[in-house]
Amino acid sequence: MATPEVARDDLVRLPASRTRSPWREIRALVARRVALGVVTLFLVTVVVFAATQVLPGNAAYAVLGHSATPQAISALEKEMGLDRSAVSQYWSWFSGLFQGDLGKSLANGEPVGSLIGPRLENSAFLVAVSGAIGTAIGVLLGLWAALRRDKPIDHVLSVTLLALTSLPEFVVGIVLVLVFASVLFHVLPAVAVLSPGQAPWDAPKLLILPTATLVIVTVPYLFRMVRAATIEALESEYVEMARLNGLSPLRVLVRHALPNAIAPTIQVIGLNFLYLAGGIVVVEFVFNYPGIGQGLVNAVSDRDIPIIQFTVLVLAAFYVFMNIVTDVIALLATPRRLFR
Amino acid sequence: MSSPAVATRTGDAPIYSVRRRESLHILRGALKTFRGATGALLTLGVVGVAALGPLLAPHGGTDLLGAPFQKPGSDLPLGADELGRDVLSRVLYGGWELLLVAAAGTALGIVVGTAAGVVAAYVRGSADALIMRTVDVLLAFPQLVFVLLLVSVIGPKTWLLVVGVGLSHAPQVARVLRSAALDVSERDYVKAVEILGVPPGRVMRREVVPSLITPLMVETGLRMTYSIIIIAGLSFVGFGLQPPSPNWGLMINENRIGLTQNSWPVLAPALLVALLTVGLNMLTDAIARVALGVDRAERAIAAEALGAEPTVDVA
Amino acid sequence: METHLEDATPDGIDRQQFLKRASAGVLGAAALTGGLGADRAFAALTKAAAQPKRGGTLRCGFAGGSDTDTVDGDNVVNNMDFARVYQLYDGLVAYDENARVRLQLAEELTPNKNATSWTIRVKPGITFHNGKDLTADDVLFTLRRIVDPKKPLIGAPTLAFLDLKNAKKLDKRTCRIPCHAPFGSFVDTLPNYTYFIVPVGFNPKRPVGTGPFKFQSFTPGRQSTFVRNGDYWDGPPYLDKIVMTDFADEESQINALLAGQVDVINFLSAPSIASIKGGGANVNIAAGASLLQFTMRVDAKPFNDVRVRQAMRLIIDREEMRRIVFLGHGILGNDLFAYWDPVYDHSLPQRHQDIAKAKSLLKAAGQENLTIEFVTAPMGQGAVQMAQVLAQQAKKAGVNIKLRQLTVTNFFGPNYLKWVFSQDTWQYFPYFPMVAFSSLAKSPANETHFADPTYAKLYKQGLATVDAAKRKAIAHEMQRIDYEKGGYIIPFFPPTIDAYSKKVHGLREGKTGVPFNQHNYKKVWID
Repeated sequence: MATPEVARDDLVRLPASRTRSPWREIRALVARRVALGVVTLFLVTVVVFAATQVLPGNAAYAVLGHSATPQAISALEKEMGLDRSAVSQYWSWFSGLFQGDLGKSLANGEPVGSLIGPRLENSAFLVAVSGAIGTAIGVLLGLWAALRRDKPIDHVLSVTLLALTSLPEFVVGIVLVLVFASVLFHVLPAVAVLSPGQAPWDAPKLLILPTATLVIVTVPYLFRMVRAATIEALESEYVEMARLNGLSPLRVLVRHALPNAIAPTIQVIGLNFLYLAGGIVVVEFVFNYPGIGQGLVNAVSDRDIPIIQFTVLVLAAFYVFMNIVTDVIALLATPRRLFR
Repeated sequence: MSSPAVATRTGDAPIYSVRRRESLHILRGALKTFRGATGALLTLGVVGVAALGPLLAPHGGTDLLGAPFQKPGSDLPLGADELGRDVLSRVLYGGWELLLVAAAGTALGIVVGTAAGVVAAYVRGSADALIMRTVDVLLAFPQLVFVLLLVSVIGPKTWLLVVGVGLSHAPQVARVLRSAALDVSERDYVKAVEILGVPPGRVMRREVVPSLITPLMVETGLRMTYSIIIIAGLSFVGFGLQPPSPNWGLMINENRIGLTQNSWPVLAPALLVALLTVGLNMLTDAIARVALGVDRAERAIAAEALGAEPTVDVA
Repeated sequence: METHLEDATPDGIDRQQFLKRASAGVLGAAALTGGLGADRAFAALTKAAAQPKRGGTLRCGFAGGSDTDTVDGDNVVNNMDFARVYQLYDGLVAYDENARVRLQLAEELTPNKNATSWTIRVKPGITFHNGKDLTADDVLFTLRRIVDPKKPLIGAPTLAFLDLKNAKKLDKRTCRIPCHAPFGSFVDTLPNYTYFIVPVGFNPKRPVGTGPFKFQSFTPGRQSTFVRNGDYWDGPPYLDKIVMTDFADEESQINALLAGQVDVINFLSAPSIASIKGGGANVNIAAGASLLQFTMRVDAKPFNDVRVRQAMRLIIDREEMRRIVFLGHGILGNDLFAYWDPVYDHSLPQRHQDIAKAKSLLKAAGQENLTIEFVTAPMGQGAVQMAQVLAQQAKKAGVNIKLRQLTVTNFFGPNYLKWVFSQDTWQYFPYFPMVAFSSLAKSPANETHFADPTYAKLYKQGLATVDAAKRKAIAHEMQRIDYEKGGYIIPFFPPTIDAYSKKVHGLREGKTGVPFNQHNYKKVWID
């Protein structure tokens, strides 16, 4: 029977008891993970800040651009607080965080929250929609292929999806734009430019191509995982027993095989969302989509430290959060096998 | 912070076969399958084009010969690129640097990651904790951001790309190899050598690492694919390998603008990159299948490709 | 500089000229009736069979912006800022379509006999967007704001000559400003993009100007919107609204235009022309005079030897580079800037590639088989491509150029102005302001570290000369020095390439290199 395995460390620490309720252990697990997560996030912000200090030039150069004179630079550096020591700069940002002050963008003086908030919303929406659609397609295709294992259609699907996986995202995006928006057909918008203040769900047509790009790139992984997990579940002894007992194939599938395939699938779904969050940079570039990836590329280019810090913090927090969530769900999915 | 990942059957043998004599058998076995053979063929084919290309190119890679985006003709079989250079020649010249950088980055990542993972698994204790926490911190960075920041520091220099790509792979490699090494460390032949008083460093080098050939092969294949895609992606957003030397990733980016006039400067390198990554994927697949059996291989690769940690059974 | 500036609405044929021609019998009775008839005839002349329509929103997809975007008329930084500020503000003077300096807000701008004091009078009846009248106070406020020592704005260094502390207001519309030293090129300096007139008490967060469009909204790095100024002193625009969106990538701009998501795009590269035309939109290609020059530091090896500089200038095959990078568009250059300035010396022989002479010059300087690093960055369309072609062409003379490409941010960072062999890009400036800007010892943008004492003396003389003919002679002498000894290589002036959808009318191109004739949308309409 398929079982999720907790990483060795954690399991060693858990008491071997079948009678205790899983919830207590899960809470302990979560608490530990959250604590570790916070430390990780702190370290991440320190590392990123250190990296920004090593970058040649700073936001003052970026703002003044081509027309910088030494006096203007030093005046602006003073205004931006860039003449302070690295430690004091970091500390003032860090302590500001706890008071709810995320700082101001060095490039244009706007509050970080108001600049990143809409971008975060846009990216989150894109990730959510792509993830949901990708998951649905991947799971359905994977189930279907598992049931038709080794038949020609299975092979065709596998090879096609393998080929799609090998393509870089921007290639997929460019091809989609060429075919549907600018050269072959003109049925879909070529760029997904939202006006400031416009919510992504109010302009669904703009999101079609970016979502399609992300879906195409991530479905193959889900497909493989679901197919493999389902096949393994279908061939387990437990399911064999059920079949031998005369239960219908559908019932076997739904009530006995699937529940055991769920846990690994959930993990992969969670990881899929994480992958999307990282891969969104290129897609936002190709479609000019005002999301957090585009914001980060701009911020690195402009040496806008407060924006860089906060963006990386958010992405890292998302990573930590998703890991914890998928772990917990996976554990919950097979309570009986949690302990030995 | 590790996450539970691939499901295994209770009581089954661990995920990666660790009897080292089998490694060669595995490779040979993989090459006998359809996937393995096709994958190897594609990979070697593209590598061959990249390696031998410079010897076969009819013109120089930077010679200005025709009109920008000139269509294919008798003198320039694939037409001209944005500056009127011969596309065919540039394609032939443009593989080895990209592959070399990708290979070097992958190698760096594998070496650093393996070292970290094996030390963590074998030595355990505080070294393990330190290494794995570092891995967690590094993994919390979106990979592209990491390399982007690094490249912005000094500028897109080749060695920096190698280091950046390598460092972005190392954490995941460390996790995978640690899992595999955890199991190997408990094996009898390793314990036997320990009892004989061989120092830990030697044990790790002589006994543990050689037993990890199979996971190493799979990892290398996967990581190589990502390296190529990362470098191509970086060139696309303007931070990758630099002109005027021809290389496939750069060609795709700098010739996009003339796609509707002559599509070969973009299609030819893109096709080669795609064939290489498909080939590598197939080969890696075949190796994993022979080593683990088809289904566990599927799950292991799918999960690992997304960044999970394939773990060894607790038993 | 001309002492008598013509007044011309900076949008091509102006109505007065037109009416004069019409009344001379060119268009007969219809024109003579004046009023509505003249309007229609005028429109017919400007656009065959198309009638200007009131209303509509112009959607612009522009490159060159970033999170450092601004709407402050005196603090313009990036290329997209130009687009914004030209809608909100006017200057005392402005470039017309032919890159000539014309009066705009100013009615009079005259120096005294030895250019040590300037009198400025603004036109009557001009109001800001908030209803306030334009007066001399606003002019002085603007100039003082720019040079404020506590927070000098971008245009401060070039106004150093003005003694604003002792400036005096003569009447409501007139003021007089003395100068620390003769400043004959004041007028040529003013049409620069950092001297727009703002009202007393200007607040950049709620920008107010005299321009044809009023401020509505602004999100840096993303979008800005402007609405019609019905009380614009030069006649209200046809459009109701302009929306400008930042684009990071040329291909997205083109895709958006061809898909109908934007109406105008700018800063395009030559290869895009065919794709855009093929996609059903219009392309403007103007012979502008913005600079995209190669720079050689005259104080560093190997370029401290003038023979090496001269050799480099002869190695370049200008026609071939222009053909490859810009498909032959753009005006051929002769290593001199300020092409449209009346003082430009067209008599100096046009340079062409001469490998033999270049080789002998290098040999004489002991620099045969020179290996040198060249620093480039995608600072403008064609920059990196020019560098690649240069490297290839140089091989013919035995010179080995190693390219090093940086990101734009890194290029203009702390090492900017220190590169030995590199490039730079600038808007069009008339001759004397450009010299002040780039070729004197204390110039803020002296990439070549040029510091010739004879040249500097001539410059000072030129500033003190009010007579146009005498200034021209001095400028010619200076250009002789630029031609023989300068550190710039100006192979050509890059063309300005913009595109727009077929339903937009009234767009024109100017010669300064700023898209759409300094982003002039005053007489633009949409079907």
